Amino acid sequence: MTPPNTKNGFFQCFAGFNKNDILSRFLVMELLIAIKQAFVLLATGDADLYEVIFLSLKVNLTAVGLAAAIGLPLGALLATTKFRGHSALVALINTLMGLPPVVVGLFVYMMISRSGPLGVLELLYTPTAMIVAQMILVTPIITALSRQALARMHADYQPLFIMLGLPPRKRMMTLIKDGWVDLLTALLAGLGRAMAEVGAVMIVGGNINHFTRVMTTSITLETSRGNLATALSLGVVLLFMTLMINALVVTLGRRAQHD
Amino acid sequence: MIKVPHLMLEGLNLSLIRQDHPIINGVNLNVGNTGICGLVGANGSGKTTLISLMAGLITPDAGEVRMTGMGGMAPSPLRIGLMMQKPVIMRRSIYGNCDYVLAAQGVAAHERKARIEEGLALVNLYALRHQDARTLSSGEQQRMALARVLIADPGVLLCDEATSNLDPQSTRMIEAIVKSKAKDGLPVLWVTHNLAQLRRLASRVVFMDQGRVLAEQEISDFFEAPASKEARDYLYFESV
Repeated sequence: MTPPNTKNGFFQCFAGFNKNDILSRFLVMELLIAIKQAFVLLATGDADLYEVIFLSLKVNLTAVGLAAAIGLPLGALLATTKFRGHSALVALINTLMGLPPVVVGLFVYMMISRSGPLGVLELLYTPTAMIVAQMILVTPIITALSRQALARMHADYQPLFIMLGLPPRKRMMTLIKDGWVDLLTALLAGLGRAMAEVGAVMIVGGNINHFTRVMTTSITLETSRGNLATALSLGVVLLFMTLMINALVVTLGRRAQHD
Repeated sequence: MIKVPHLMLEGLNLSLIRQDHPIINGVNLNVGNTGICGLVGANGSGKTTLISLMAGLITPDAGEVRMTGMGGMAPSPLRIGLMMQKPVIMRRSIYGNCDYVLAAQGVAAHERKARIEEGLALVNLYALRHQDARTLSSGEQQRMALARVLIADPGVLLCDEATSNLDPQSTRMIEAIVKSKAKDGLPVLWVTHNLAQLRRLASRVVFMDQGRVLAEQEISDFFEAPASKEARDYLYFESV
């Protein structure tokens, strides 16, 4: 194959490649530039970026914490007890795992808008509203995954529980204590969902600069403005944050296990 | 090490029906402290179901289980020790597995430590006490299960094919410990398919078939003159 005219220095690196290869190389370069820009933004302590990061963390971690406070005991309860309507409730929670975020956003919006039943609380376009929406989205995920993990464990432990005559509360506590690795996975799945969510927080938060703007809504905004490199940089920061949180939780978990 | 009160576990006219089919059909069974009672029968004869009823894991449709010897008291789950073919292994260390049972019984921490160390030494697992119980071999897991049952100071010990998956060494160790406890007065019900083991351990044999007890004899009588045709057939097929 005859190489193209490569007098221009910029195109020198594409010599000998076909169109698809060149496109791939462009994308890789764009990504590398974005990664570099992301680390520059992080390293230079860009105030706006850190404001957005901290708000994202605050909203997502609070939402996951609240969802865990509901979902873990509920998952444990569903794993250890049978009652009328148990299967229907489990099916409902499994279904709610796939809740469309915009529907949740719309529901919360209707509840907290001025004319809604909770309008007097004046929560619309506040971080609290975003936390509520995230919590609604994440709770079914944590509940369903923890129930699934703990139900397997409960089947193994049940003869011992019966022989010891343990009440349901003690059974649940034992399962949560012994099954923390599985529960951690459920929490991380919930956090992953929250970190990636954009539809609901956009509707109830409004993406207000310096008040309700988070990573995902920033990315959406920058993309709509045509600032793809900035959007991509924010995306890399978001990925990096998720990776760091996962690493931190896994490390803490391992340390706790060894202790 | 562990004081064993003289108790007797009685199953009175026990019945269990599933899908209109009697799984256990009017069974009476006494487990006392007159040596180890062997429970034998073909697969599906109802041995495991009966032992589950006696242990309180399943509620019978008719009949009752009671523990006597202490004023005819009602059966307490804490007083019955159960060893299953596949023991419950908690996601904890060996020590943690044993400690959980004693803590659930409300035993004080200092007493728990002493009892656990003694129990683990008995089954030769003291050196491995901090190891995750899930990483143990089948034989070690079963020995841990035995220690866990014994340190809880059971009034009766029920063993459901507790050594069926174990190597001869672990089997003999468990047999020796159970035999010694039975000699000290602990009532033991031992379910097995292993006739050689039955001869080694049991002084009395209960034979089950299709949810009913068809023979209850001294060990020598059972092997020499089984009390039912089904028991004779069972012995024949198990020995060929």
